[in-house]
Amino acid sequence: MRPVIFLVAATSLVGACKWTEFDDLADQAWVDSTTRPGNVKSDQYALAITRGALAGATGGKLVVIGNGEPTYSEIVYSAQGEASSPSTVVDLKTAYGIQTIADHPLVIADPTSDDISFIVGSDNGFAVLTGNSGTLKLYQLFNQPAPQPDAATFVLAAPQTRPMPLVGVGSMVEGVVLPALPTGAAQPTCTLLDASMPGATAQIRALGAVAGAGDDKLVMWDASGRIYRYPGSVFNGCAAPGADREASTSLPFTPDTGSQILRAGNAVVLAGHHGGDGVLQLLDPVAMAPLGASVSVPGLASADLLLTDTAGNGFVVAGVPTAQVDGKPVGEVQLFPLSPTGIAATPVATYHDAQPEADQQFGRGVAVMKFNGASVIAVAAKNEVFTYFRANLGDGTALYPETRQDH
Amino acid sequence: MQSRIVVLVWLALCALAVDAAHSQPADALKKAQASFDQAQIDYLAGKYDDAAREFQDAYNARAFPQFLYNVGASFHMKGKKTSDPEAYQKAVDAYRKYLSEDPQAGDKEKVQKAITVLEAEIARIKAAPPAAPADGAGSAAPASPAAAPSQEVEQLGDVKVRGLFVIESDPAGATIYLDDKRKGAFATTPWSGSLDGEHKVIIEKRGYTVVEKSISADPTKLFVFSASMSQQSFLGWVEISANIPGAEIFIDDKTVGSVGRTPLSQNIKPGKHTFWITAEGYDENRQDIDVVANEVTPIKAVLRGAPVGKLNVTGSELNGATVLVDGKVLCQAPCLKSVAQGDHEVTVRRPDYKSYSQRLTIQAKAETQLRVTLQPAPSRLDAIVMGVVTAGFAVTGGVLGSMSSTTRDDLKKEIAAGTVPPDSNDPRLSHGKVLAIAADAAFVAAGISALTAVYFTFRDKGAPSTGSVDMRSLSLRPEIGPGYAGLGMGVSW
Repeated sequence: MRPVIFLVAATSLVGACKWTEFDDLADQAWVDSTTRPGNVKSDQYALAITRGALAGATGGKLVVIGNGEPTYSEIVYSAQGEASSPSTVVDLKTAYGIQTIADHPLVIADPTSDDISFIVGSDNGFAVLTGNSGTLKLYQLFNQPAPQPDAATFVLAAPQTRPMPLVGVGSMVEGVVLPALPTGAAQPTCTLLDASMPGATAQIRALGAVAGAGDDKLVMWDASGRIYRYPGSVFNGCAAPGADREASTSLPFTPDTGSQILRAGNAVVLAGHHGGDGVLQLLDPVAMAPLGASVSVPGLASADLLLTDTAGNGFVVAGVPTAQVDGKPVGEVQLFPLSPTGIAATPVATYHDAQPEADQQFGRGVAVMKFNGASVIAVAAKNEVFTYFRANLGDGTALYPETRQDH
Repeated sequence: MQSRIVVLVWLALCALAVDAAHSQPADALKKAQASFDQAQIDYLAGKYDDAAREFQDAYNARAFPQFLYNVGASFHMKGKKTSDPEAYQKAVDAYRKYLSEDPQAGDKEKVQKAITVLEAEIARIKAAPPAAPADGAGSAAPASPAAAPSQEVEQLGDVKVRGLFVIESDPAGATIYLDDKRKGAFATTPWSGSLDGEHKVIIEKRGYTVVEKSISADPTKLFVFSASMSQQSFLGWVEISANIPGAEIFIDDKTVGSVGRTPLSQNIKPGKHTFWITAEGYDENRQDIDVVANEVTPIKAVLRGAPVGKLNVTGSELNGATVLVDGKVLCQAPCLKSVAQGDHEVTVRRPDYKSYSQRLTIQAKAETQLRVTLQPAPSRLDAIVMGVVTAGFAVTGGVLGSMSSTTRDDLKKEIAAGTVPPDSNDPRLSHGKVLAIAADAAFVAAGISALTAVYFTFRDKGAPSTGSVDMRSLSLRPEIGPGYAGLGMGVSW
């Protein structure tokens, strides 16, 4: 009996486990995973995300839109990558009567500041909510009743001195003057026309802007697949019947609401989705000509750009929440190399949850956020946000090195 | 039963060998026996003067001191019956002469007391006034106060004459053994004294054949055993002694048993013989001796060793129990075994029973009785169950720990590779952590259950086995008295 007991004791000592190793491993993980905070009611937490701060010496911020119980919340990252959720959660239903949010929320970020805007329909029309640094306020409740917003972008147009939100509804755009319209001023509106197609009415599906001489140039992607360029002055409204396009072209893809036009240097990346189809296309908005071939991304739901320079080199971060991993539709994020001449046809990296769960919808929202001054990828999944503080390409080379301090 | 009160045993073992020199003592013995027989008859008839005279005649024929005692006894009884100071005086004289003849008499004190009492009685009688006639010389005188024996005389009781057992041999000086030579020498011839019961008398003398005879002794009668020994010049004579009295002696063949105890002298056929002298607790002494006819061969043995005592282990529930002394098996209980004197650790062990240990001091020539009651050992099933539980926990801990380690290693590899980097909420982290905690909990449980198993294994459950010690001291001492000699054994506890 005694030898057996001693053997057991020795085995126990040898086999003793340090469970704190797993805490250490969690700290060493390249990816932070933040699940729905307790103070967020949304059962569809992280329906959409965008960067919450453009720049900052340390740490970073991510804006998270939740559905179910519509909420606006933020995730604040410390310089070491530790996530916290401020208590400044906005219950959109209670505050603004927003009952539900579309599958592709219009959450846009000012390319030149920390401002973000959330354009969403409500019981009484649609609202533009703007804010930053943990605040969100109602800018304006539009015409009552009003159709649902179809697209939005930040655009710089004189006499404004900084980009401001421009919301597309049907064929019309409405400028959102921040912080408020001058007293007595009318809401600036402008119908976007195509004089070459008399009688045709545009159906805005995506809006984007590129820098122009003075004002930005507005790029609009129509439901028919046509792409137009308008002067940024449409922000200030225009006379009836509307403003004609400066140039246009066409793509064999009919985008749906929530498609995106992303600024990439002097070019724009069109990220369109329709049904289960998706497409990426680099476009020269001046020549209104596609750059490179369009890239088909089935299931594309959201995209953002991880630019490595101002010339437009970098990666298109494409979220495909229906992508199959190991035979299961759990979702993934694909990285397509981007250059001024086009988008690579195949991704150089694919990210998914290392332990994916069914219906995880990994990639239903993507954002490139600033963290410790660097750009890092954030991915929204069902009730969870993944932030890649360090990332590799598929070949094992570093996409970007460790961005957290003390790691 | 006065018809036969004297038994004469006359052994003519070798009648032809008896020469004329032997006829005179034989006649004297016959005369003494005849006088003794008549004296007994007279004594029983109350003819104390005649009895005294006959006992005196017997003494004159063979001067056995017991005859003088009987003379005194006859006068003692006469004096008691008649309050005759003269008879008392004769009794005192006879008693004194008896003690003079046999100064080592075993009843010396008793006889001396009788002398004292009788002398006082004589003085008391002589001091009493003579009885006055009542009514003329012809009338009977009433009993004087001195006519009745004093209280002291009455307390002495009625005196009885004694028988006598006489053992003689021709030639004299032979060694007498009673019953068994291993008891040692009883006396040498001639011998007289009291003897009772059935006995085997062995008479042995160097150069003579051994005489053996079974006799029935009556302490009230005169019994004479006279052995006429024939000379055997072809025999040798050994005188065996040892530093340990009472050591057993074996000659030539140990299987036939010992021939006696030291010291021992006896005839033996000439030639080579092997002698073993042994005693418990001592090394055996062996000597190969060439015995020469008609010569004395001394054999002296020096026995070395330690004296022993007896250990008697008894008690209940001892069947199949083993007795160990100082860790060495002694016997299967119950048992009585010799153990060297000194301190010993005695353990009684039986499977499925609680062992009993006792430190004892064994004394030489003493019996130490250890009475042990063994109690059943408690079941160790609980310890076995806890041992199994311990093993189960340990195995579980090992499996869980291994799974945790595997999970940890996989995570480390994936984190290092970074192609599909695990996130901070990877379920494997919490899973592995839970596994690690569970493994450690299992190890802790294994440790606790192991300690419990140890406790269950060694805890003393139920009543302990018990024992008690009794010491019985055996002592042998030589005893010599009037008419007897031998070894006395005393037992105490």
